[in-house]
Amino acid sequence: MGNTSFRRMLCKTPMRDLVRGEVTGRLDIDWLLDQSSLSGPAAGKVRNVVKRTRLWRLEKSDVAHELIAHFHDGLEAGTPIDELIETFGDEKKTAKLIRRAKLRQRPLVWHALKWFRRSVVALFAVYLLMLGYFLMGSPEVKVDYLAKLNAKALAVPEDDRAWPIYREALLELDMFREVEWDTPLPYYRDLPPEEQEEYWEELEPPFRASQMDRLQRSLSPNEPGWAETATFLREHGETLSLIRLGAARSGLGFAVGFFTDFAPEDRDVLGIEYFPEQDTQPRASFQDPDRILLSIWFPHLGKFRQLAMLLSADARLASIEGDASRVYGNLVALQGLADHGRESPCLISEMVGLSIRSIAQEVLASILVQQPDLLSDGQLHNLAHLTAESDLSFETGMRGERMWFDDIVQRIYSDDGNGDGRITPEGLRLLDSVIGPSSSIEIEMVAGTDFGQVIGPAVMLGMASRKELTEMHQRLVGITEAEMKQPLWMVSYPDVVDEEIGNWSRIKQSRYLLITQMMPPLGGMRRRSETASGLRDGVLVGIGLELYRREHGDWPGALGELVPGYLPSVPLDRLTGEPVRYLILEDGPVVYSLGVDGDDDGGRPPVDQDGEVDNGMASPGRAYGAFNADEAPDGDWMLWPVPWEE
Amino acid sequence: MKIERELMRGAGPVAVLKLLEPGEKYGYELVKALAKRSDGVLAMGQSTLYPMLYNLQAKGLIASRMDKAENGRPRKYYRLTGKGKKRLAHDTQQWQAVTAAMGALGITGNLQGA
Repeated sequence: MGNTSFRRMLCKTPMRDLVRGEVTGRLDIDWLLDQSSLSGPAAGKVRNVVKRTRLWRLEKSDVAHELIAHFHDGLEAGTPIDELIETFGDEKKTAKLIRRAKLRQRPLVWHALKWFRRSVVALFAVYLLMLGYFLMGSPEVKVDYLAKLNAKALAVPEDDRAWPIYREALLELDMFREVEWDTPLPYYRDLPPEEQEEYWEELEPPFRASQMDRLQRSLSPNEPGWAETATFLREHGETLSLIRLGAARSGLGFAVGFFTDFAPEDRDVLGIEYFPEQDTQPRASFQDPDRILLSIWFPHLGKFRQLAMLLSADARLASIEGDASRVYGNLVALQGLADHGRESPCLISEMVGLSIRSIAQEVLASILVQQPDLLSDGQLHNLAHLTAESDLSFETGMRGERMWFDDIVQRIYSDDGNGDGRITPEGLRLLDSVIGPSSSIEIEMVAGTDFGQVIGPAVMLGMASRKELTEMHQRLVGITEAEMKQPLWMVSYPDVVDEEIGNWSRIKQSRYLLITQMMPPLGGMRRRSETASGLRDGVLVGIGLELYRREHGDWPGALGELVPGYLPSVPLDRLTGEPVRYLILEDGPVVYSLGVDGDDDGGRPPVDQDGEVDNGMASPGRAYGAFNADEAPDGDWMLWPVPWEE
Repeated sequence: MKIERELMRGAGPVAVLKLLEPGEKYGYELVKALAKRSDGVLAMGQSTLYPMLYNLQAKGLIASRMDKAENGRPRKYYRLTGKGKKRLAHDTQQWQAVTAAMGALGITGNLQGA
């Protein structure tokens, strides 16, 4: 054992030897060489080679044993030590070759771990490179979509703009003024007794709320509070004339924008908080990250709904007072108001326009049924033309939809000049702010923080490129637009785009996050548009029937008799493509579509679970997905007269 | 004559396998046999032999065992495995084909004729 202590021997013995009960100390290369009694140069050669191999201790021991044995075998065979040393070869090269060969002998697990380590390092390096690539990207905001959105409004000559007139009327109306009145609001009045106590203040006069709140609950003669509404309308007769005057203007001339964009004179009437310092600051460029089209305001649209509400109430009041001219004026003004509401090519504007047109149709239909002789032939003719000309499609709004999308894309992605680009740090922050809070996708958007940018490469890989995203959006909008050009009965599945997006895998939903989260339900809008169009067809037939009755003293036997004198053609059922059905019942004629269930129920509308008539159940508006006759409610979709108030 | 490294890389392993065909041998024995039977052409030092043996072992062509020599010192003996035998047969055919081709080209003709 020489100078080597037992303890050192123990430490230098491999576990396998210890298990066998042997304390060999063979891991100690120096001890091995001492024991070998090789000459200094030969031992030095072995020591240098073995140390340079940088192998595991047991491997080194094996190599040392073998090289020592080689020298001994050579010496025993009579070869001089100098010759053995000379033929040994280069130490460095030998060590390198031995190491390489020994590594090949190592277990598979070691090789697997080695490659795993290398892969991790390589992946990390690649990720770092990608992070650098990501951090270098910046969006290029080239197109001022807000200017495009406002182009039509700003092209209206100042003298022909309706907005200044509406603004004056709104200021006079002061709709947010708190008022007192004697009739409880229907909502509180209809509460069950046990809940009424909670709202006792609303149930005991005098009642207080904004003029707006009160009016919108008492818009027709059969609603409580109508007398107060009538008083209000009579008191504001001149203001209502002003609204009708504005509605006759050719254009609205209202530019939408961000809350700092609105003129001081508009802010009060639009309910926009005013900060004097805003007017001293120059308006930010359209390239400013905050001026994303998604954040623009349409504060006037809410006011339009209020104006439409007042005009419709005044039309009803005028009909009670027998003032046909004012009824007619209000109905024409509602059409003008709807056109003005649609000035900005956006889906939200289209929706408001559609809503106002529906109000106009409802009021006209109601008056025509209840007071068929009130309006003159000429007035009915004109209203028929106005109603027929109204555009109830969303085609213009789709332009705005594209603009909204293209604007957010240009602010999120870089631009390589060929329609492609990658997500940028600025874009990631923007995405986090517009989608993060409302995202239904389980992605933790931490991009708003500095640390969050570290996830940039992962987002860059996970999300579609600019080109992929744009192409997907164009495809989906294209499908919707193509289907809008076809009659509804030829479209087997009006919600095909919504369904497609809904059926995407979670990965695809994340990949096309902007589409998943931002794309409106286009199929639903199409169905609403078709519902409004069907009801418009009904009103047109209703006017034709009334004009026929006045001339012939009785209802026509078939709708064909209205063509061409009273109608250009018999409207087609939007759900079947066949002419709408016509029956003369005890109470008068009815015009109807077969409804979603596709069978003729004799002009009987569907009823809901409570036994109440619910005409909308048979309309395309509420028939999501395919028009499956088996699941559809039983009943026809009444087009004339529509059971609005039953 | 010392042959080129690349040629040695191809010829060395098959030569070692051939030497192990009759039975197991230890390192120095292989060095001596190679030098003697190849007339010094395939002579190699430890720096070449042992990495080659380890490589052949890693490929499963040879196996080793430790034993004590006559003088009582530990010594490692190498032997051919089944896989090594197949490889030797295959490589032998390859070398014969190469030698024949070289002969046809007049490169190894004299040797074949001798």
